[in-house]
Amino acid sequence: MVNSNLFPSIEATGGESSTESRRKKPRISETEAEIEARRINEESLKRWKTNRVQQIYASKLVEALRRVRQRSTNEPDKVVSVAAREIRETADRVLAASAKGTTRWSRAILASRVRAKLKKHKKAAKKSAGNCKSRKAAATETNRIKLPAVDRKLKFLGRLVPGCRKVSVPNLLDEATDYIAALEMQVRAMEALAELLTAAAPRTTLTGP
Amino acid sequence: MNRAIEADLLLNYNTDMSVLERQRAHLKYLNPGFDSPLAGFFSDSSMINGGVIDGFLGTDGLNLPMIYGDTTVEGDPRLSISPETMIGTGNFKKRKFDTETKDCDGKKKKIMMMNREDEVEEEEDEKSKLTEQNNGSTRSIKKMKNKAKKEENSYSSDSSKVTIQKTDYIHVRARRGQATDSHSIAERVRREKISERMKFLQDLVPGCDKITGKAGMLDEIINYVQSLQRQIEFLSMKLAVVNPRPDFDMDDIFAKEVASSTPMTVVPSPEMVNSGYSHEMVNSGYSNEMVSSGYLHFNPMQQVDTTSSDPLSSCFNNGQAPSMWDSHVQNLYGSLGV
Repeated sequence: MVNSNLFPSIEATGGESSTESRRKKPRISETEAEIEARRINEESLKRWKTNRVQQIYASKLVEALRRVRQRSTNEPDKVVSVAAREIRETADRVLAASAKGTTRWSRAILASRVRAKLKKHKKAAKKSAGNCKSRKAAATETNRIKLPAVDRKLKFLGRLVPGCRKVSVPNLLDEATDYIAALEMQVRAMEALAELLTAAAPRTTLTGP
Repeated sequence: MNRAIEADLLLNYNTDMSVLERQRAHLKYLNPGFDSPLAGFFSDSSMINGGVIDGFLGTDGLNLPMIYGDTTVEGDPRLSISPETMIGTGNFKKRKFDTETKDCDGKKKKIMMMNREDEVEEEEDEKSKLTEQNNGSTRSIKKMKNKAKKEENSYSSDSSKVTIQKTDYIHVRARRGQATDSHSIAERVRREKISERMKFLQDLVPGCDKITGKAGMLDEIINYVQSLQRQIEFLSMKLAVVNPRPDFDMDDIFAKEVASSTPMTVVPSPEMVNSGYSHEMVNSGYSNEMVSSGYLHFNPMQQVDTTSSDPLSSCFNNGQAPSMWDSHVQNLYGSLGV
């Protein structure tokens, strides 16, 4: 109910993107891999814009956030930044779950949490992380060969998209497409939610000293 | 009649007449009065009778049939179904294709050979390529011979002219002036894939329409992704500040929203929740609660919250912990002020 009004641009942008993807659709068939890639590209433009996806995401997000809040009330002395990081990670996880495992970045996000939990239990995690970082830094220092600009940017993009560092270029671009569409949806959902909550709780934010 | 024309055409090939001239001569043979430009010729397939045109290209004297022969799927059967006018146009169009390729821009260049299904698309492309034919005809013939001698290349393209009949192997007619070895073609395929994906990204990222070139677009894409991530960080901080008490009643908030703003319709679809939560990985027990509560109405949320005393009436109106919020808010404002 709330979400349909809070995401007013869905239909318009959804229509736009779908027509664009239809226009770009080739009139001939291709090899299987190409068909798959094209499907991913066209779908990603559409699937993160549908009303239904937004609603699913918004509802899941709200629930996950409530859970986080419940957990954090047990330790009320959290700094805002820590809480913010938690919320952001929760939101990312919910987003990755909405992706239903078809994309690499979503799987990486979901997997990273498992890895983080394992690391928490293992105390030796800190040491290994430190070693890795120093080794990496040394390696990049010695290999001072400057890649061409485009390659450098592609590598940087691979670092931005979670779980896509060693991915081939066309797959990386595919993942980036889907990731951008998903992030846009996430931003819209969180904005709407934040607006809703802040509008509904105006007095408390204004209580001064 | 076919044989006679064939002989005539063979002769024409040997003398390296331009394609245009050959066709004109050929048509004049058919239609003494026919002198229209070939542009109209193409659009009107009824002008051509397939039986005659078959002979135009069905030359056994050249190596050309090797090309047709390679596509085992439908080269020959098509050729044999002569009365179809479409075949005739197809044949002619193939000849034209050789010569017009040099004018195609990078995206349209890859041409296939044998498939009549592409005529519709071919028609659109060869509207006014008459002048090039004269120049390119000789070279195109040589190219065809080259291609005939080459083995098939596996090739997938997003060009609109690639044949579909054989999904694995599609003959690639190299663009005029481009290398024809398999490495270059594979390279070109790879580049096409990348540029196609970049086009998708271009549509997604705002403000990328004016930018040409991969580096600039990648810059824009990276900036956009970073800005989206930063926005999410900021919003999560905001949400952390607005973090309400456990007995925070979303239902009440939404009710207020509904009352104040335009009425919004609830979309009751618990099955959506079911499907959505089937992928919930954090807490399956929690999702069961959610499912049972018909969540999308936001009504039964209080059922889940065991700590809430009186969900419907209580909300942050109580101001039960304004101090916590105050400190949060002040922290936030402090950080924003930086």
